[in-house]
Amino acid sequence: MTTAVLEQPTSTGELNESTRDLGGKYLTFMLDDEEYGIEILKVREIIGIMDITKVPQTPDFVEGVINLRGKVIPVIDLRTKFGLARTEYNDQTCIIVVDVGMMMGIIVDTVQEVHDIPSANIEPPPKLGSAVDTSFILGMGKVKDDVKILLDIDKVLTSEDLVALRHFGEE
Amino acid sequence: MSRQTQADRTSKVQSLFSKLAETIGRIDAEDLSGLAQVHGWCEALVEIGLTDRAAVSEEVAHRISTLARQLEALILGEVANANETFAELRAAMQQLAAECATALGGSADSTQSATSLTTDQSGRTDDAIVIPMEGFSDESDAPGENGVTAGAAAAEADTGSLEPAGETPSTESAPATREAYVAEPLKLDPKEIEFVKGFVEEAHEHVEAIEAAVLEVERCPGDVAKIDDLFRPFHTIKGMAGFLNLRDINCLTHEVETLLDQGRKGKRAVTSGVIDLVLSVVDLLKLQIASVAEWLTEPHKGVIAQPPVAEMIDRLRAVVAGRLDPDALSTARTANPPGGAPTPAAPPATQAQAKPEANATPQTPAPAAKTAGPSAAPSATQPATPSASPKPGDQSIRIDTEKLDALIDMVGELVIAQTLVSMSGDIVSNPKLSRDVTQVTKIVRDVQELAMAMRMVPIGPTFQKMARLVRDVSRKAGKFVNLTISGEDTELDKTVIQEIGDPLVHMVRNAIDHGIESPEDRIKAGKPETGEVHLHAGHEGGNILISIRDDGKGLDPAVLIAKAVEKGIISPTDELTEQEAYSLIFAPGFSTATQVTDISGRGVGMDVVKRNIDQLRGRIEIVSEKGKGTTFNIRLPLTLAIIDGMVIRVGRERFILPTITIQQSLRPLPEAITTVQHRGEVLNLRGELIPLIQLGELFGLTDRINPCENMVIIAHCEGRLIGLVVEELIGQQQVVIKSLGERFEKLQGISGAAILGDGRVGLILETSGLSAAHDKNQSTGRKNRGRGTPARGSSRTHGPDPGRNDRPDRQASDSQPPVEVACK
Repeated sequence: MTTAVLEQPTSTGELNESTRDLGGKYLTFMLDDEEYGIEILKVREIIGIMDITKVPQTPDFVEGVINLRGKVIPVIDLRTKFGLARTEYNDQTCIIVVDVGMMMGIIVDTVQEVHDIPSANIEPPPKLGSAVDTSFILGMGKVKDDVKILLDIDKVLTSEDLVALRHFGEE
Repeated sequence: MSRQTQADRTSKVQSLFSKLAETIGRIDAEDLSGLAQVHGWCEALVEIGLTDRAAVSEEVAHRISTLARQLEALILGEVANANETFAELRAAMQQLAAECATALGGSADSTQSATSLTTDQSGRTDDAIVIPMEGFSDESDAPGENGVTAGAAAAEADTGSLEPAGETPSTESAPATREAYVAEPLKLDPKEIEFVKGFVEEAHEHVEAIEAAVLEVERCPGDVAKIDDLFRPFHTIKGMAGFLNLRDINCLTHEVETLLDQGRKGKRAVTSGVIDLVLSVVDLLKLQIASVAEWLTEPHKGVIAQPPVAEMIDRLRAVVAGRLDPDALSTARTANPPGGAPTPAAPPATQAQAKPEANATPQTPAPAAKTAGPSAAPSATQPATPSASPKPGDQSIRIDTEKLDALIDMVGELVIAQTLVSMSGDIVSNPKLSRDVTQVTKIVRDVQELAMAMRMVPIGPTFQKMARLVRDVSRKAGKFVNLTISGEDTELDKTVIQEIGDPLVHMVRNAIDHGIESPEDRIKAGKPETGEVHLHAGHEGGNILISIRDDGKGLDPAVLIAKAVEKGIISPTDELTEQEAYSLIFAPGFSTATQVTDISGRGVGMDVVKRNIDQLRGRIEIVSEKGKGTTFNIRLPLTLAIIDGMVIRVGRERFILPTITIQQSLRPLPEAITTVQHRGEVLNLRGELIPLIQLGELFGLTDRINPCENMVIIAHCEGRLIGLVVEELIGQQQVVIKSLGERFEKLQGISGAAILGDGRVGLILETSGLSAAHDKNQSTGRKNRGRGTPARGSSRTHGPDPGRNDRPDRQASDSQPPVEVACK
């Protein structure tokens, strides 16, 4: 699989959708009843939920680490990161391994399929007021009658609170 | 200008020069008023030169003003290494004065106007020129003898090749045939980056070889083979530099080559002064190589700043031509350290020579150096010259460490996979298959050992490097120190060797600076005048042991404690055991040196050492006896990639505790446990009180685990012992270490992750972090709740754990009075 590096939004956080072609293939998954999508090029693999070794003194959403063929990678619980209540894992729960500069895993309820979404079908994220941070949403993708929230997975996983992981030990 | 005035000015110049030379020979770097005086004279000379080119030529004036500027920097304290700079300044001034005196002194001298001499290049303030001399009188063209010397010198110094002294310079019209070395700005082509990288690496190795060889030559100056050994690396560097157009390095090495060539052909005695000169060339070479290495980090920067070599080159040329006596230079330098002239700490003087000292400098303690002989002999050490090592024609190949690391990672995985296979039921039940798998196991183990061995490097060269350090430091400190080493064949992982270098340097410095007493004190204490520093490496109990031993004055707990109290590191009422007092030296900012020298005493040394060693997952312990000496014992794991650990279980999670830290494990009786109001639980182990750490609570995994029904592991923690309460000891295992990545690097108590035998991840514990986290918890009175994590156990529920919130409060103390335990 070739690795393409997609343009990053400008550092001020504004998304220049107009200058950026968001069309492409997205892997979609569910958290509760909401559907999300991630650029397929960032996805390395999908594995079923497995034993996760907990790491103490880390934020809530950091579930722990797993052994991925010899590499130890951190795993994030996306539900917790998005403020959703925790739920039991079942046989549909998956870990999506993404490459955001480093390998990380995210836990999702179910994985659906890969949709090819043309940029014409992608709209900028809704302005929901300052209470909701939408900086990590690339846009809203329309597939038939469904709307998928397309995530900027880099933003999601490399945001400030993850950097704050460093300081946990010093607390 | 009239002769009259000319003569006046000439004599004024002469007297200024002689005052200058006399004063600067007399004062030292601290004598600010003396320095100021000299500076004033320099200015005066420059001033004369402005109006009277005959009395003070342009070149001379320029040289003087350069020196004056350097003087200013020195006076203003802007120089990093004052003493050395001053010594060089002094040498340069004396040389200048001598030359001028010679030129001025002769009545009939006539030497011509200065020749070539371009001055300074690219705005550098270094003294680019060589010899002055000229036009003191309009006399005839026939050069007087002194003039000849000076002029000829000028001529020689200029070109790149050697010409015999005494060659008549061409007259004023023709420029000298030799030009002084003019450095050009260095530009490297980014396309050549690979070559340059290779150059830097190899140059480093050659420099190491040079340093070892220099000390060898110093020990046996008559030995031509050894001078050859010294000559060759310079020659190689010269070649490589030439190929890459590194002019400065190329010319510098060329000059030193010439000097050494004289030595090996018997035309020059290799005196201590020569050795010093060569060593200063080496230092300059290192700086040059460093500047090239820096270019590697920014290949597109363009011009590279390089340390000036012109003066050194000139000096070398002057020495080669016989115009300059290296020993005079050296005297200037060694006159600096107050008091006793130092002994070169020649590595084990098993041969009682130390002859080099005899001829060169006023080193009266030369006989003392020989006393080092008998004391060194008993220690069964091999001389620092590894007899066996560099075999000519050694077949070796350079490998990228990344490739090696990748290989070792893969081998690690291979071992795990193979273990899983060999344990599977299907294999075990089938005899034929079982045999085949056993065969595979054997082969895999062999591959593993080979892969590990590839990274192993003998520690010998690292120890050798200390020889030079000891020589320099002991000289500066005015003490006599003899360095002996043993176990230099001991092999360590390459990364460990790299990381251990700096800590060793610090500790050796400390040993000389703080440990070994001054010669007078030693004699008063009834010890031999020369102190001993001994470096040893060996295997002990499955680990590497490196020890540094000195027979100095040892550590005094009282002094350490007093200093720590003064620095506010501990409170006056704290009671410390002897070991704890020793451990104080590892506290940041701690230093008992009443005078900060430029080599140690800034209090930054030992805590960095400790950190380095902790990062290597090692341990350092101190054994000391006041008045007798101190020994530092560093224990390190054999390799970095694989760790021998004890797998333990707390709750559902498994952790690994490095076996090197475990002292013992036990299930204590209830009577042995005492609860302490503010400190939790303490275990009484044969009189020693060991704090217990509840890992389950600390990590938010479980509630309090009853030590008496489970296990307590007694582990080493910074010189003390702590007890870790765990639920189960699963077993000892060799596991492959994996880094957790930077995101997790600041976790207290966790130093990494490992892949366990069944492929799952286990976190590796690290005792000092655990202890710190435990203390913090205790003092703030909060337990580390794992935020909904505990007992993720049986069902993978994420709901809040019902058991969490009604945990019992901290143990109320029993009827026993609280026991104060110093938990630092």
